[in-house]
Amino acid sequence: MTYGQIKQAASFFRPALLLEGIIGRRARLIISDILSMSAVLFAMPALIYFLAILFPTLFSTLGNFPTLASLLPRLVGIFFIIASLWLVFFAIQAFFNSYYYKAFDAILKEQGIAGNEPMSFEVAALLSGTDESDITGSFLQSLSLQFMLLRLGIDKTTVKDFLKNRKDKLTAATFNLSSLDNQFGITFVDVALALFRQDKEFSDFLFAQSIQEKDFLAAAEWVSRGERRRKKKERWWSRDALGRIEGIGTDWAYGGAYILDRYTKGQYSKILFDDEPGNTYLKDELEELETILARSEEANALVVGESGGSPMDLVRHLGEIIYEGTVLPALAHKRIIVLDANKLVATNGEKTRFENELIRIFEESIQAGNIILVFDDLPSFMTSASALGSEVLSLMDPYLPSDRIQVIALSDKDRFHRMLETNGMITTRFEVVLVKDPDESVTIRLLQDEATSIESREKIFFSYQSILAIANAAERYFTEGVMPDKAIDLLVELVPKLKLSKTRFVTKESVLSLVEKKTGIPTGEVKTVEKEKLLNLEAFLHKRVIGQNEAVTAIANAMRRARSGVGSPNRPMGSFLFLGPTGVGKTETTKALAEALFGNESKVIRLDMSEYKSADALDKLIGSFSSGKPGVLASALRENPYGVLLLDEFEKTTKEVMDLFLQVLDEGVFSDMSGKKINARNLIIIATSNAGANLIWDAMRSGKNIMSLKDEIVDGIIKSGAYRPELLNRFDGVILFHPIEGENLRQVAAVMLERFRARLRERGIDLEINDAMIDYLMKFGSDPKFGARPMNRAIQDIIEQKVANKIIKGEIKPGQKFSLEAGDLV
Amino acid sequence: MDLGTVLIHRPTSPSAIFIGIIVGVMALFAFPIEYFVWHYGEGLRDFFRVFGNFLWAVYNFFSIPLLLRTFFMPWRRLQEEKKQQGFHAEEFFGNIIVNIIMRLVGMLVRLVTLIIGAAIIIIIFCASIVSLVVWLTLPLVVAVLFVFGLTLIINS
Repeated sequence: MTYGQIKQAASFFRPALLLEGIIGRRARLIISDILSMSAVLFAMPALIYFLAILFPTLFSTLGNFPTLASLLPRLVGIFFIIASLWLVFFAIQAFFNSYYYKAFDAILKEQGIAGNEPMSFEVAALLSGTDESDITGSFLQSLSLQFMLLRLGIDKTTVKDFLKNRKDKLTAATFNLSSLDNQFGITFVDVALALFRQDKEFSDFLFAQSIQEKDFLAAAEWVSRGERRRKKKERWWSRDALGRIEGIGTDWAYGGAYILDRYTKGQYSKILFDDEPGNTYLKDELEELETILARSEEANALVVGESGGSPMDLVRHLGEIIYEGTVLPALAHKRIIVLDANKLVATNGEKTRFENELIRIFEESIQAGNIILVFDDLPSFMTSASALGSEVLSLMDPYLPSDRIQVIALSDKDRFHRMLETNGMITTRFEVVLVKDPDESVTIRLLQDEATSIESREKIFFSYQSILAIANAAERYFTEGVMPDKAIDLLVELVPKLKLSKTRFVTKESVLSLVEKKTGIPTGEVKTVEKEKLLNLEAFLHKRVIGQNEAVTAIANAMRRARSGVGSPNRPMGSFLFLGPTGVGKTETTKALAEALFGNESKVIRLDMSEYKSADALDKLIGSFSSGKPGVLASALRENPYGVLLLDEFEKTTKEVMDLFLQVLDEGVFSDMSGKKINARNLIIIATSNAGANLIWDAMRSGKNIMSLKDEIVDGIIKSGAYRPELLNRFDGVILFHPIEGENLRQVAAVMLERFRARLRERGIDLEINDAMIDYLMKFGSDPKFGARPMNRAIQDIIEQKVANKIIKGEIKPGQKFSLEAGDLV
Repeated sequence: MDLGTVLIHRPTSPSAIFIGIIVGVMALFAFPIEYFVWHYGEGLRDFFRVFGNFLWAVYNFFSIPLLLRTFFMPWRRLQEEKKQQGFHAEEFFGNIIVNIIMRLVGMLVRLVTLIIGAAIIIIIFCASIVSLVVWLTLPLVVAVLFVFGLTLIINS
């Protein structure tokens, strides 16, 4: 569509725009209100006047008040004039509304609404005032686009500056449009998007504010959706609005469910879904669920979600279409009741009572005839009932084929596979509906709508970037709960804190700083101190780690990638497999990294994986349901979700544990024994291993460069069966540590002695380090099989002993400087 | 230049202001024509649609189709059931009486609801006829009201 054609199409709305030009909508509404109020006011004298004419005897006393009697006809005259004016305004308003609410989606179809209008009213209004030699300039002066830019965090002055300093202008000759969704013609979103795509200078300006097309589109949709929703609310005479009034007598033909009502979870009040164009979340799944439940018998569904949140969304969605009256006729007037299974088990506490109550609930539901019974977590219900010795599925079974009750059971994918899929009763009685998790756009959309309703109450304004930040933070830093619920919870939780900090305009930074306070994990932009640290990470690591240049560089690069936000948010911050013989600095590097990034080497959670090689290794780590013992890894990560996880001698553990880490490295989360998610996304995971040490040695001995042989060494490790290739591939880096020799060994000895010296200094004794001591130590490090570790032992066993003897003999006194010579060390 | 351009861009040069005024005056004249075309065309259709919605809403609010379909059903499915083994005349007739009463209660409540619903539908229907007459003669009605009001003020 060229600009001319659009203009032509917009002429459909010309009459209403003409009116808008003469007198604006706001002014009309105000005048209408004043007229209505005055009409009501003057209706009183009019009523008295006509009653006095009809029943003169009743109002004979009126003659006693001559002023009133003479004033009355005038008041009545005013009433009639007001009434006539009111009628005019009413008619004009009806005229305007007739256009204003056109091209407008309705759930319950009405003739003539959302027909084949070429565009929405807003678009026509936007176009009607456009200067054809400067499309962008005119559009940016419209309120809706200004509002949208404000959503994107760009204020008026910035826009003004941009408009002033442009080189080119987008003209009507080059501007054209094609509609995104044909159902409602050209919408505000289409126009905004066309502007973005066709005015290069404009999109560059936005890009400089780090706004990309998808952000721009999402903000446009937000603004447009808000507008559409406002209109829907205003149009109270629509079938959608009138149909929402709940009818009387819908449950007279059905029985009550009195016992069940005692075990009911609260109803949900949030409207999560609407038939917005482009909203496809759960659309297919809902259709599937409806069809299953509308069947004449065995109309039961098992809704399985990837993570657990989306199945309940689907049930809510069903509740909404029942409420709206757009559900299949077979399901009209049904009551969805979510059974509070915990309460049922807890209040009855004992097998017979529990079973009796459950049976009564089912019989009552069947008697009532309009119940859709929802078990919101069937696997948990089964487990807790089995603790009472009760078999829930067999209790339910006789009722499931009935056409007078529908059961929806919900489960997450994991436990569906483990507990339900193999059960024959489930597969015959239930039809499975698989639900996909909502993608980010769904979360964003829900957050935006929630934000809009918060804004109307709280006088704060959310920028699009802040919404995006909330969605990302919820995903990354909070593992409890499921998306999109946890994102919405986070948003709601932030509101009082924002108000407390007097933040009116919520930006990405304000959200991130609050999230940082809540979690203790640095989130926002990389700050100066941290920047320094990251940029000089190699130097920092080298203070403690001697040699190992390749390893240090690889780690430093990976860390910078992760912290700059380039890395994937759904994986650990970094994960490395350190390969190499003992005593070459693997553990030391880990500690140095913890100190560099988290300020403290105690931020290392160290697990010696050789302790986890028995059959119950996995249970020890994630906890066991049967024994009720919490897992070591699960508890450690719950307490310290932010730090370095060191897995020593990783190759020694079992296959199951390795599989667990396969998942952790890939997704950054795992479930503990009770199915609760544990976050490993803010960890640096380092596995160390001696596997391949021999290969490294052989390579060393034949004088080859290890790094050039890395592939061969890794292949060798895979062939030896220590690690499977898929596990190795999951690590951000497999890093080879080579044996320490020559000059490096010397430096290590110096560093170790330096540390010993620091310890002595605390006692007030100063040790002077000399070559004799270093040479002496190096003798212990000469067996490359053990690396530098024997040197450490030598300090402890020999040097410390000698110093101790000297102290006791009184040869060294506090405050004294001394050193050990070759003679001392024999 | 159209009216929108005039209003949004607020012309500053004298010639543009002049054109702007002409456009504005033309709009003032054009509007009544546009309005009357709408009033007896699309406006009338809107009228029927809105009253149709009202009737539809009342029809649904009183659940008329559902109540008719379930007219003879017992009130909230309250029914006595056979509890003892074998035939007991007392139980049998007792149950029959209770069940008949429950059906009668159900019918009565439904009947009352249906009557109220029907009455409201009839009222709205009548109101729509009156409103339709007013709508069709609206220009006249407005004029009559205005003149009548004016005479009352002047004559007293």
